[in-house]
Amino acid sequence: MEKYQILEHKADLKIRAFGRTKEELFLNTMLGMAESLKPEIKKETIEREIKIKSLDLPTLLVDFLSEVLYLNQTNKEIYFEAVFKKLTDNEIETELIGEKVERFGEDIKAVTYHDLEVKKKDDGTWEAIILFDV
Amino acid sequence: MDKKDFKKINDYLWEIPKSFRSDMRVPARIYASEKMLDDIFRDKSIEQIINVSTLPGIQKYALAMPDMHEGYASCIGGVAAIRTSDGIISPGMQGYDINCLAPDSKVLLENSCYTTIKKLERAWQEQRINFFDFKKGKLKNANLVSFLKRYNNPTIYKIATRSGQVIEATSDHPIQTKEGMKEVKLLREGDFVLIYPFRGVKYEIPMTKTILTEEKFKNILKKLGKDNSQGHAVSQILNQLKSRNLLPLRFNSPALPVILKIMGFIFGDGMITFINQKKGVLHFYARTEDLQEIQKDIAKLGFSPSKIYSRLRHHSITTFYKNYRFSTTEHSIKNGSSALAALLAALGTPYGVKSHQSYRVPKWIFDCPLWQKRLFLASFFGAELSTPSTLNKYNFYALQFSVQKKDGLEDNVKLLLNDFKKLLRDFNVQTSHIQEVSGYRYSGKQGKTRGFRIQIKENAENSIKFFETIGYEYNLKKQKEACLAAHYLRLKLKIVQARTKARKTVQSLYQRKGDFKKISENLIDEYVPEQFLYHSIFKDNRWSLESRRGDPRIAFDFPSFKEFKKSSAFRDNGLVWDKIERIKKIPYADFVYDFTINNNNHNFIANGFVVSNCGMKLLKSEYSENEIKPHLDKLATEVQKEVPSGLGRGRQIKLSTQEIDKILEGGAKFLVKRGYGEKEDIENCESNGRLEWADASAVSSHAKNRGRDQVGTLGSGNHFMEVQKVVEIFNERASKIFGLFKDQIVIMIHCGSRGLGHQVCTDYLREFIPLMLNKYKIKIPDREFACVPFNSPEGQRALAASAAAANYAWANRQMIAHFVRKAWESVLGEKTSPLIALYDVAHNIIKKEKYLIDGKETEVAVHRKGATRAFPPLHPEIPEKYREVGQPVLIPGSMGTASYILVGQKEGETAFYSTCHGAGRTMSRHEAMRRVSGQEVIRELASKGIIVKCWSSRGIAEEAPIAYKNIHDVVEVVHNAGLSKKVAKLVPLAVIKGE
Repeated sequence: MEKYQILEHKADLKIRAFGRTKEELFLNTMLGMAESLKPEIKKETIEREIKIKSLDLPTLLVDFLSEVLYLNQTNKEIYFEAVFKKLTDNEIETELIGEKVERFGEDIKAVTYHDLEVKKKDDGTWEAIILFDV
Repeated sequence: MDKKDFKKINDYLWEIPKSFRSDMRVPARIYASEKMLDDIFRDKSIEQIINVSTLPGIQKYALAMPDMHEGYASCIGGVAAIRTSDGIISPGMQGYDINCLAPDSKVLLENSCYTTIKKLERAWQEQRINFFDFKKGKLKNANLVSFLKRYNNPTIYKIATRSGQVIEATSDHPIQTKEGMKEVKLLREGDFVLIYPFRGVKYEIPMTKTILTEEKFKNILKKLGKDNSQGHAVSQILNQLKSRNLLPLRFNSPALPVILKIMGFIFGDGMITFINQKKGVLHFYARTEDLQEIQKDIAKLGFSPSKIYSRLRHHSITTFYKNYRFSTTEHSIKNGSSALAALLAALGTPYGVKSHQSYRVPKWIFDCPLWQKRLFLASFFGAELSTPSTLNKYNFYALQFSVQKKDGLEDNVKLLLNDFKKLLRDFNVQTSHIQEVSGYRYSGKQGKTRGFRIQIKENAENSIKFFETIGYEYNLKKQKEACLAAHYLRLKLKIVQARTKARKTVQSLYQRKGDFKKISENLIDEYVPEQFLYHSIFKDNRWSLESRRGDPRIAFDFPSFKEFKKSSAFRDNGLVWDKIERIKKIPYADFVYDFTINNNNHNFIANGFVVSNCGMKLLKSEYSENEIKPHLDKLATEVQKEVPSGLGRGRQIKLSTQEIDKILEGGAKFLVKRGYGEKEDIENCESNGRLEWADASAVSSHAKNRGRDQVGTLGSGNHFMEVQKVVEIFNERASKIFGLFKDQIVIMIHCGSRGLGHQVCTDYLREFIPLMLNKYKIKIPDREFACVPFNSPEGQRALAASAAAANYAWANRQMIAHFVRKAWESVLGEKTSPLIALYDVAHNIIKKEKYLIDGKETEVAVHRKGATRAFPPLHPEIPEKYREVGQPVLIPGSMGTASYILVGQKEGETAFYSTCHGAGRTMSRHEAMRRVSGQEVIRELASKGIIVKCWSSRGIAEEAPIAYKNIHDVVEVVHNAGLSKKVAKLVPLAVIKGE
């Protein structure tokens, strides 16, 4: 199954991500964002934990990615794995595993709520569309 | 949607009327040439600017600049001015609906004046009306959300109640009955409807004439012994009053109604004291619930009232008969603002011990429209006039108030009382003569006083007039009694009139015919019972004599006031149940009106507007192209080395949290103080490089962490620096004043507040969304518009955080300028002439600015997203040396194309002094990358003689010139539309990108 696609948008970055489960959807969206940052990896493994509460599922996804972006930029790290201790419509508790980064090739300024979509499709799989400000 | 939905205002301005989409509050206006208009349809930017026009509180238009393109939430190139004081909340919220009333229906407005609903049509967006909040059980006021007018045909219902209230409404108009809200067509005679007896005074638009000028105020302060010799006391006071729009004070100042109420109250139960000729304090004494109203009003003026204090007081009153001693709990609040105290004193409010001095009702109050006079009177009466109460079952004591002063001031007391008599006469309320309150010497702390009083004539018509039009302010208990008394008296009056008529008729008929039974049959009705008619003829002594007090005609079958209150009063706030006496359908072919209100008072910050505080700084040199040409490559390399990109290459800086806080609050000013720049950099910067309402504590640690290693970094995307030369001068005069000349070398810096600004946005968006949905219940077309009321604590904190981010951006550009100067010096040596800042402007920002809207000076929060501020000539916020010609406006083209320097114009007021910010994108980054490679772009620029310095060519393709609109077209539009005029055109010689 395809993990994510980069869509057309005039000034910014739009990603459509897929997942068989909610967890996979969150992970794949994060991977889409990670690739867009174009990290130069340093080969030093690290772990981080994230705990967030939000109003609803779409907001939770945006808040999750915002937190990941913040950690990316302030710690100079990139994450490729996520172990979900908890993922409901309002709460997420997850452990992120990744590598240290020398520098990023691209800058993502923020994760936005614009045109945000998170939905469960008829076949039971998940899809999300998110816009990033670059 | 297509081109024909646009209305052409002129060759450069197009309008989408408000009617295009039902949720638009204002029209949307787009500055563009006709050719550019076709391009705009290629993305969602039009839909986005229409979304902007739905925002609650937006004034005049949602504006789009010619460089507009799709963003998220608002399009880039959007400008919205949102009123900060009071505004309208979006529909979709719970409201109290009133459907379709006849044009002359009177509507009670805030400040207890009325207007007809027809008149309301003209100014409904500015008026607040009173309504009853059933959930809270209180009378409140609110803005109107929408106003509807339609043509009604052929009939309308006319409803008359027992007390004489009449209303004309359409069949579907809902009215509150004992069984809940019912549509008019379902009402029957005998049903009870809920009414509020107080009517108020007709609203008149007050004059713009000034009551108190700054000069007059300063003179009065001098007389009071206050001048600038005691430090900056007077200037402080002036600033405090001016910043709250209290000076100069005019008849139509929005604060005047509140000031009148406060003054009236102080004439009664309030006090102003000046301690040691310095500190001014206001004291208010009243019941707790009334003090709460006063607290709210003081806050409305922009000052902070104290909490409510309570203390036990002991009194002693000696009358002719004996000495009374009693204790009461006294509640009070105070306010320690010398500015407010001085203002009230200057307006004529007595200060110090009132009973020991002479004073009158200030003359200017007599020039106020009736509804304003009422506010002063009613709050004085709230303190001083007696509560309506009955002396027997049916009759009221005459309302009276008295003024006590020490021996020797009797003449002044009489003059003062005459002032009040005069005011009351304006309302056609009659008063008795002035009488001394004999046998009464009040012995309070201030010594013996003598009292004089006036009564309001107690006949029913006069009392009703008083209760219905004047009533009491700042005294909920008295006002409630006033409403009930008014209604009771109306019923009584009606019955008295009916019975008096019946008595005369029965008496004369009996004299002629003599058959009592037959005559009385026709005269008996609800108000006139048989017994009454019988007694009218057969003169029962008990009832025929006019008793000293009370009307014999009433005693039959009429409830006492006490009984009436018990049966007819609704809850405890002055509303009463009134019986419908008659419902008639009358022919009616005319307009009817409908409006919706919302019981919340909000306006807001649309946080989705602020992305980052990207902007531009221009540094001028004294060099011309020829002098620089041999050094150009070295210069570009050196600049790139000195200015970190912030993405990991180049210099790495990391500031401490304290230093970040200082930057967040001090902006560029702080850096210059530390030696990272010149004084002129601050003078020639928008807002002097610092918004003073910034608050570092409103910025999260997340944001600060993102910002710590980014000060002085350029960032990526469309941010860059260019070494440019001036190729064309369009405006000789402006260029001279700006210090520009042909072939001059300048350096342009385009970047923003980096990660910190974005994190601030993310943080507040996240906080606002649940608040918006749950607490404030605001509906907007896109979550990215997440907003809260401007005046809410969350809104003000977001404003303070956004100001901190703006300060960070200015500091960033200042730091970069510092590094550029270093590079400049190291290449050109010690003998270099300095680089001087021309100006620094922001492209994404929220600023509080004042504009004349519909004749009223209104403060708005101007949201500019991808738009530049462009102040006109003579604007005080422009640096003095530029003031005569206008504010410099810096417009970068896309990388490698031309840039422009423009100047702000007076005509720009229609766009809230805003103009475009750059070229605007025409295609997505992906499409640009598909069409051209980074290397191709660099080669193309090199062929034009432009040096490109970048760490990697990856981001170059995305920023290729083909991905942007033509900057010349964009600038032509703003030039011709009068938003800003061309001064000079610049072309790049070297481009330095941040990556």
